[in-house]
Amino acid sequence: MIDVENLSKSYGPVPAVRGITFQVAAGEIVGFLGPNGAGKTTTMRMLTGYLPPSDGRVKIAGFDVFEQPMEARAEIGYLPESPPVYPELTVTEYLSFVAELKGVSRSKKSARIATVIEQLHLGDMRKRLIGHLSKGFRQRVGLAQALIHEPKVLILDEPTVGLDPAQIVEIRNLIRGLAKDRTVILSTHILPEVSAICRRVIIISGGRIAGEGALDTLIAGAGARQQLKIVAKGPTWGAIESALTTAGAKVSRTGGVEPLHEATVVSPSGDDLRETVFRAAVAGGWTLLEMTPQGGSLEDVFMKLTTTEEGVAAA
Amino acid sequence: MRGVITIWKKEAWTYATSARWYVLAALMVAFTSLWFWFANLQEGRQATLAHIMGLLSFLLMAVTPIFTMRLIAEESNRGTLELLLTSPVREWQIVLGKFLGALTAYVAIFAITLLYPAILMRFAEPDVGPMLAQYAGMFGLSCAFISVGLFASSVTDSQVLAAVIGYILLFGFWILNWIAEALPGSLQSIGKAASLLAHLEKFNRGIIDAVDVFYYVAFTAIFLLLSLRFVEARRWAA
Repeated sequence: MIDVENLSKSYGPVPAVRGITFQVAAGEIVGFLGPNGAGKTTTMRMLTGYLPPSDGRVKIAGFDVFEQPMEARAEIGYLPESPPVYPELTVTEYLSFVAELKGVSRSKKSARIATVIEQLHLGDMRKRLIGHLSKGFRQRVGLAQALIHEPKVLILDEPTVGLDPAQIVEIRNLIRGLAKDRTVILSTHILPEVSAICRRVIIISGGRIAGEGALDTLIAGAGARQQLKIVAKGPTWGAIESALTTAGAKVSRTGGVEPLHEATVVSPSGDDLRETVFRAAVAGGWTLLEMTPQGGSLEDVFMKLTTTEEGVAAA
Repeated sequence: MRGVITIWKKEAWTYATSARWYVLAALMVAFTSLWFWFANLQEGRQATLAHIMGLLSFLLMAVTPIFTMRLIAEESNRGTLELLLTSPVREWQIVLGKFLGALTAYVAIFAITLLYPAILMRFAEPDVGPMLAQYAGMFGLSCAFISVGLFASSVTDSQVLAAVIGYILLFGFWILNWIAEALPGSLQSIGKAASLLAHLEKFNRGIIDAVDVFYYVAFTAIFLLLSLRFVEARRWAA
């Protein structure tokens, strides 16, 4: 649905995006993740056809964004970093304007406006001036604007930036709901946002793709250490320790009051230790009360991928 | 065409719901009606619109840059230009729609001033032909002024700067007529040919000359095309 090939953009001599290539299949919801200044907004703007690329091409729903701009733009719903609203219009006036702008037919217009107002819970606000709305509501109006013409592709640039925690949760839920029947790409510099919404992530750093893939694969593939926190109940710590060490793990006790023992178990080889720990407990006759995998989070992956100069090519 | 009409409607609506239009309309009506009183509604005066039109053309020059400074600059400032430029409409449709929106707001002001010819016709027997020519001239002048204002608004993000640029350009084209007087032969005719004011004279005398019509059409077209270039250039500068 989104097909990006060797896309580059320079501002004068300064390269912002350097030859990125990726695809997003129909129905996917993809996170475009990177630190500030990585080239996220520039990429989003090139996807929508707002910015002409220095090199490469973008196809949306089969239409080249620059060769067939009218056809491509009709399939795109776009929410820029700050919602493009007119404060002097009411919500309904604004949505009516955008609907006409996007080519929604006269007969469908009022039904579409009613649908998006319902979808984004803007019912009580429909007659209010946008200038009088809170930031959260304005963001919803921005989303409503992006949906009004039933686009196949939704492009959202930092959709939750500047919102309070409750609003963030709400907008994320809305996006997840919207993603059911369309293709979504959203940019963000907030890691939990990606794990909350997306199944696949593209990590961009310094204008290049530093990593790409399903979240789980990325986390595993980046060589994050396997580490477990366990709480065991047994007669002596020594027995537990020797059982785990024999199985090939490095163990250190971190606390607990007899007969409870809290410990950290690390696998030097990077293997999954959960089964090993379980079997050791069964064989040794002690009880495993708690076992929590630690480390190997998206944060680790992100730091690893965006702080090294070369990065890891696709997972 | 859909794009043009959509943006035209939106601009006209924005003016119709803004204090800016009402203040400017009130100003123009107040000044012209005072002038109408002094110049026409006294004993022994002619039943003609020439005086009113002279003042109206000056007032239009005085208010147009303020009236049009928001057209593109404000969109750019608010980030709504990004919405327009990523919608399935062409840049020329945006420019033309905005031009027509502002023009509609002016035509609405002219509609109010129709009160003056109505009064003249009630109490005297003025020539209708010249009055039509005078309104045609005012329409042409408005097109030219608005296109300059739109252009000024397209070159900068700052509305204040847009107004300043608009004033410089309009004033320049306005006084070209006087500057030309001081110039020698051929330069003088070029200066007069380019002046906004010189082309209004015949309209005001009740003559619609094809040369003058062509002048206003060409003048407006040139500034609309320049505006279009600058709107397109905003993509590259973004």
